[in-house]
Amino acid sequence: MKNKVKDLALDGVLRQNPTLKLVLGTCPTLALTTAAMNGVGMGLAVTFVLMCSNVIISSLRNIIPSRVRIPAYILIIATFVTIVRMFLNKFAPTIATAMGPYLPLIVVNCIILGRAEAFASKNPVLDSMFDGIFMGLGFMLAITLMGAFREILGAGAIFGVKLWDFKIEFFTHASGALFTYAIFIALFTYFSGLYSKKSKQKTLQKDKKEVEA
Amino acid sequence: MANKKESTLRCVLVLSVIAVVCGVLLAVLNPLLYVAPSAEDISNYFDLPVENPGEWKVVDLNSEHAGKTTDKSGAAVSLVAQMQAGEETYYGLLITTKASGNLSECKFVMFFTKSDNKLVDAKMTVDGSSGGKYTYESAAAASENVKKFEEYYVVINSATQFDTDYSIPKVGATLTLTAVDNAFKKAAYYYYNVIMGGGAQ
Repeated sequence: MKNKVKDLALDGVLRQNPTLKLVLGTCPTLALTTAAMNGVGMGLAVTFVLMCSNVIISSLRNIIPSRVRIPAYILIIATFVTIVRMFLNKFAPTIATAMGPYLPLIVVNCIILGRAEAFASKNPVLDSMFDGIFMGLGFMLAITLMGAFREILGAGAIFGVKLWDFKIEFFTHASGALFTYAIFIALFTYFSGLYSKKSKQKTLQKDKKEVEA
Repeated sequence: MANKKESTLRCVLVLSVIAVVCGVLLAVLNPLLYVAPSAEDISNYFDLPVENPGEWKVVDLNSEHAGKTTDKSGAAVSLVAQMQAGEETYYGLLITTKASGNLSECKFVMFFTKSDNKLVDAKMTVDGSSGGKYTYESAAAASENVKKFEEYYVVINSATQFDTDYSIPKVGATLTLTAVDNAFKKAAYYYYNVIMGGGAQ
């Protein structure tokens, strides 16, 4: 079980990172990464919805007929998105306003529908729950880092705290979002390539030692 | 045939059960989490930096004078709230102006002091302008210009709302500047007629 959780964590955050590896949930990634705080807010909202919907979909996987699985998933996801929206409107109205239409649009977020279809509908409840948590955290980590990068360069601040007067306005625009996304995907691909090379070498060495022994 | 019918029935049944359960869950949470739109507007837009600010309280809207954005004026008062800070009572008016051409719906918030009927602050809270940097900058200037009304119309009176002499230079972003004009006129009209009890003329 411990290994499985570790595997799911590595998948969600690194190996199958929804934003940087699977390139899912691109709309909120491009639109909301003007500030690091938006990334945290959106990431937490998506993580909650992903975890809850994965749990429910997984527990109903043998009951929901495959012909109506998509409308059923949408119903379940929309319920949790509505709960998150009401919660943020009540307790964190500033974050809710900053997220604008992207908050209700979580309903059709590719990451959530993708994980429901690819993972939760085929795996047990506990695994699906961990998959939801780690995929959500992977998404949150990616958009928070992108938000921090754009906020530092575009506004000379981090989490709303001013650092300096130097600003490159380009990073606050849509073109800056695409540029930042490209840089992050490139860096992620490079480092994940190095990581998988290293882990392959380690496995090979292990295998060799076992054969020799 | 019977199997297909049974399967269709099962699909409908499962979807219905899921919909009912989701509905019940939301119905249970609604009284705990629901925030009225007016409370949402207050928390989003009613920000007036004064000493010892109290809580904004929604005042009943006089629909006869509040108008609609589809009216000739192109502006409508959508929310009125009152706040007590020290000995002063402040009124906040949220005004919505209609979309026109490239300009989407805009929202303005204007604050008045009850003791001397003064406009103390005004902001464009939702900027509906589009069309690139030039328009954006002009819209920002327009929003700043709302504050300049203070210089011309320190006190709201019967003339304020009908006087057409005041104008802000409409160089570029004409639609946005017209929206600013309309919003101010509507606020002045509503404040004079409803809050000051001036009576419609």
